[in-house]
Amino acid sequence: MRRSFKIKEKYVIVIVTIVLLITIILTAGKRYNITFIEKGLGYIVMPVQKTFSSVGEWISDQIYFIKNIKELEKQNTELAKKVDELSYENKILQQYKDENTRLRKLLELDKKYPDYPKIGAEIIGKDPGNWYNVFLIDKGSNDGLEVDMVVLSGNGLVGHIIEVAPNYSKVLSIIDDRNAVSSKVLRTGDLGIVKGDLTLLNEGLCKMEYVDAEADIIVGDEIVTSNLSDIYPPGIMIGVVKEIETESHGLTKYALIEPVVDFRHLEEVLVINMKWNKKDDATKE
Amino acid sequence: MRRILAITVILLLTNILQGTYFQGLEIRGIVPNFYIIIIVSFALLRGSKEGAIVGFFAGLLQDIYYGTSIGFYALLGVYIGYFSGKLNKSFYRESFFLPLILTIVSSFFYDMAIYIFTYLIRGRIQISYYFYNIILPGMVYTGVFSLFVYQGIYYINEKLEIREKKYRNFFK
Repeated sequence: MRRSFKIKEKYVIVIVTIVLLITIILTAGKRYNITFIEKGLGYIVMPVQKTFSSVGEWISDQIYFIKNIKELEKQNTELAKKVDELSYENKILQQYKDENTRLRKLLELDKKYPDYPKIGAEIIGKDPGNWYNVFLIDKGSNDGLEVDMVVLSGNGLVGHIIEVAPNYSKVLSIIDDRNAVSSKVLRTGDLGIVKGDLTLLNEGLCKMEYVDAEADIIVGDEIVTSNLSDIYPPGIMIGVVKEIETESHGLTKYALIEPVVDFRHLEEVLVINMKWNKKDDATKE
Repeated sequence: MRRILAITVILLLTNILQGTYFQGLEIRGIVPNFYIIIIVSFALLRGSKEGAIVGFFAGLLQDIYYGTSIGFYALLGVYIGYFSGKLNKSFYRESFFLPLILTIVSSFFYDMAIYIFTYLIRGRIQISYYFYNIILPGMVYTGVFSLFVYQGIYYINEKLEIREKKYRNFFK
């Protein structure tokens, strides 16, 4: 009896292995349509997860507040001063902007750098393992998000959406080992590809590869997304060059980039509520 | 029934916490893996079958929320649960030594499998870097937490078993 059960058990493991291998192969790569099971789980788990993460944020905010109350006061007076300065500057800039739009209209350059429609989202979960940098945000297809939409933080590129459920989406960040972004040096327009690299993650860096050996690139150069990318609109800030090395084969260089986004303390992000590649097609027509 | 409910709650809670608060335990980019601890604990306390089932669902949750293909983590979970469960008969439940060792060994296999199947095949060949900076710290860190979590699971399991015994007697 016992023996026959043992054999059965082994068969079960083999069958489970085969079935799972098949599902791995079938679902590998991009999963655009999530299954009903995932949807169901999303409805159950996400509200709880959202509460958890917001409570956690609240607590850490309180701790931070108590820790830094003196400093905050100082900062506050400083910031108040700065607000005055900036609002003055802002008024001048507003005038420039009006002037700019007027002149742009004259030159019909209007479409080149449109204001992308954005919506805010909160990060509610991070990849549990130590290998990858995927995170979840609290907006999904109910809010009009789609796969391949671009995610920003205040000052730079965060990543893009790889999977959308009704009430949450999965974002692959640019520092994930699997991600690659076509990019260029803002100053000179030299092209390269920014890749995430786990070996550089602890120092908070990523790598810009395939830069031409004769490219004009120096430490401190700003790196932005290039106009070759399918997903990313051009001109989004990625980071600043920290170090430049020549590859061992001598044909290309690579640069270490310090992203402008602080991935460790990321809590809120902006999603460009529009698909870049789609829009590109629309303008071509 | 109660057991299923308890395990479901534990797994969902682990899944939520692992993605949120446990990320705060991070040291140099390494977070302890509580899924492994839970799977190993249940497998040791209850045997291969339950271990494999818990492993499957723990992995599936991870696949759904953070994975890029369904089944990879689930498969790892099944193996960890199944093989850990083989030692179910051969240890004293009160001892913390075997759960600790097994968690460390499982953590090694888990991360090694992730390295081989998702990093090595993309041409990342600096295995020693990954071993010393990710796999080894992960093993140690997860091991440390297994000491505490195993006690918790042990306690919950004990309660469940007492109840199950009562239930059985009641109907017999």
